Amino acid sequence: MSTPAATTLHAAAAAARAGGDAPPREAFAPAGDALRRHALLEQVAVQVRLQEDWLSGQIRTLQPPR
Amino acid sequence: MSEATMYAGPTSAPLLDPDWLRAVATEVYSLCERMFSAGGEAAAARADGDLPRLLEALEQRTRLMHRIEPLLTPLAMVRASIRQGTLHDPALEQLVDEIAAWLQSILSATEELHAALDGDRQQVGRELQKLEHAALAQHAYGTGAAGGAVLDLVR
Repeated sequence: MSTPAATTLHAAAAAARAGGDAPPREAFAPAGDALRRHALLEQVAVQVRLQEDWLSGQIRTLQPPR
Repeated sequence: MSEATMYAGPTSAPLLDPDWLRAVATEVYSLCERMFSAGGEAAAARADGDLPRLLEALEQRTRLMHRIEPLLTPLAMVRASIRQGTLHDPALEQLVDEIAAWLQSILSATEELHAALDGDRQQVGRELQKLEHAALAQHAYGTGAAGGAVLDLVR
C-alpha cells in the first residue's frame, strides 16, 4: 500500500515527466520531512539512552541497604 | 547537630555535616521534580508529534542531570555511612530514600518513552522504505529525475 508521501512522489515524478527533466520541489518534501524526523528521532534516542544509563547508575548508588 | 544525628568516628565531619547534607538533599529533590516535569513535557511533545520540542525537553533534562550529578556524591556517602553504621540520621535517610524513589519513577517514565519512541522510529523507517521503493520505481521506468533525486536523499 502506498503512503501519501509516496503518492505525492509518484504524482511529482509524473508532473516532472510531463514538464521536462527538472523535478519539482514538492517531490523532495515528503522524503525531506521523513529524513528530518528520522534524524530528530535518532538524536532523541541518544538522549533517552544516556538518561536511562545515568538514572540506573545513580539509583544503584542511592539504593538502601538490603 | 540534631539529636537524631549521631556520628561515630572523626571521619564523619565536616563532610557529613547534617545541615549541609539536608540542604544538598533538598536541592536535589527540587531538581528531581524539575527533571520529572521535563519528562512530562517530553511525553506531551511526543504525543503532539512535535519532535523539536521533544528533543529540547530531553536536552533540558540532561542539563538538569549535569547539575544534580555532583550533588549526588555526598548523598551516596550518606548512604554508605549509614550502611557502615558510622552515621545515624533517620530524617536524612528518609530524604535520600525519597530522592532514590524520584529517580526510579523518572527512570520508569523514561523507559516508557523509550518504548514509544522505538515504535515511532520503526514507523518512520517504514515510511522511508516506501519512499525509497517509490523512487526506485520511478527511476526504473526511466522517468527518474525526481525519483533519482529522492533516492539520493533517502540513501
